Amino acid sequence: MKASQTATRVNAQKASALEAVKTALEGAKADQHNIFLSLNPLALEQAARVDARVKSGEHLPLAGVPIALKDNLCVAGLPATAGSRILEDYVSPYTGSAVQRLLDAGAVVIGKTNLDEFGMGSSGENSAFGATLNPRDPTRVPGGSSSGSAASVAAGIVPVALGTDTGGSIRLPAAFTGCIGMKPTYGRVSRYGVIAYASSLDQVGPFALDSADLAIMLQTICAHDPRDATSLETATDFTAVLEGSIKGWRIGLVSEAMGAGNSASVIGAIESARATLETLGASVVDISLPSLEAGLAAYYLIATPEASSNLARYDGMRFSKRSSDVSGDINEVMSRSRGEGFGAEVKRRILMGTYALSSGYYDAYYSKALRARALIAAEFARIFEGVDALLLPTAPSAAFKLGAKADALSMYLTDVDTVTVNLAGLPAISLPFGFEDETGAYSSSAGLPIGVQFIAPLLEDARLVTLSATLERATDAAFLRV
Amino acid sequence: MPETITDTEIEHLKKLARLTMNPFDTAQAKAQINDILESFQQLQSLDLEAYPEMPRPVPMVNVMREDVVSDGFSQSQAMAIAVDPQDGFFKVPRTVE
Repeated sequence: MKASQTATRVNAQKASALEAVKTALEGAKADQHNIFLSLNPLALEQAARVDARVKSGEHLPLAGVPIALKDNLCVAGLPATAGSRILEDYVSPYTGSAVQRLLDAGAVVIGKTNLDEFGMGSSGENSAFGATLNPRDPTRVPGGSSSGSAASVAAGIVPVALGTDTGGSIRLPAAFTGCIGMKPTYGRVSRYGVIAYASSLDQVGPFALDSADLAIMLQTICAHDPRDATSLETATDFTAVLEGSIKGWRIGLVSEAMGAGNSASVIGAIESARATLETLGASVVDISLPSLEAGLAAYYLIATPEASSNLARYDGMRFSKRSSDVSGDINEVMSRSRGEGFGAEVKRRILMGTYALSSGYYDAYYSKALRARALIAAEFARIFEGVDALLLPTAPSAAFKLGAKADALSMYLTDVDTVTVNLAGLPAISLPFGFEDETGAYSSSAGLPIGVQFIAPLLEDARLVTLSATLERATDAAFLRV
Repeated sequence: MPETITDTEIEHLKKLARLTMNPFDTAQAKAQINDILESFQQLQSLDLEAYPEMPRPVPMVNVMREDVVSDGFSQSQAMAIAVDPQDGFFKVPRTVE
């Protein structure tokens, strides 16, 4: 059942939060895709409290809605591993702001979901606790790094979930599993309570299966928070824009993202989306974003230095796992604890980030990447003078087979269409738009889900909700959704 | 353009980053980082003189809050998750010889 339906029924006391949460917990326990790293032992008790709040007269926008959280989001009393051995025993003493707003709105956390370690990965395979499998096809990856959150929604265990997106980590798994996934404008959702990967890029966002649920989630989590110095003071009524029209909108199709690197099914999905937009009264024009490809280099040369700094706190001395071998001095114990606690991809990114920041290389790498970021932001600003939103693929292909991208570089290339958005802080959404059939061709009826991505100007997140709702109304549900 | 990473440099980086890695993982990481850095050479061809460094996407500076006392963790709450607490302190390996 959709979140909006559950909330309506629970608020009307035609259903109970307890029933909804119990059903979701049963689904989570029966899961065969390694979606959950831990379940909330107090979920039923918390659901009963939501029922009591409703009985006492409170109207709650997410009354009794079971939700799943990526395991880099902190909830008091629950583990927060970030998919890493180094935080295997960590239990958070506090609840993050975005999560607290969901709880205040009547949602109940049923569990914490699997992810690529510290958010570092594009496939969902890079967790210390094993790969997440794609519920649409368990031989394929679900996309990462918010793999478990996307899969929990795609598998129908929960109607909505939270993930984080540093370079595509909400949009990619949304595309690969057939959900809606949105990265709001940087600063619209508090990062307080997010285990940091790259602080100037990280952003919390929702997964949902329809636009109404997407709007309720955004309405709840987008708010100013004095505990996050980058939090913005803005307000938008996301549910009010669901009925909006895109008639007369100009949508830019990003030429650089339509090259030969895309599968035929992805090109088919974009062409189909273009035709639907035109039917709805929007015009689609070709737009050039020349620095799209350079964005990938800039992204990795900014994200890895930030990661090397953020992850320095895990030293085995205070809160993270310490090596059982405590021989030698404090530096040896720290190095051993970190060596044992971090996985290969995390170590590689820490080393690359350390290199980019080190004396003699700062100007060539980190400084250059920060300047390229300014160029990319300026390119977007120029483009948005002439269009309302941009259209491009979310990923160059549908979900690939588990283990298919063994080398780091080919995995990084999966992010080529998503990372520039994070560099510029823009809002972006991935919408499911058809399928890839068994021959690799585009299909409007069945197969692996394909995602199309829309990008809006800074703070124009509402346009993405309107686009999602409009396309949803105009499209046969079986075509758009899985 | 600087050279890509050498064996000496990767050992230095491991030391700076406080990371132990076995020889196989070290060699693999070095090769992969070099591949990645080589593919990122395109960044060097961009003319970026006109663009200042942009460390964050939204230009906000000196964000302050009201100077009002608020609740934080108690010592016992904070120490409850310590890896090796003793008498309300973090117990760590010897730091001074």
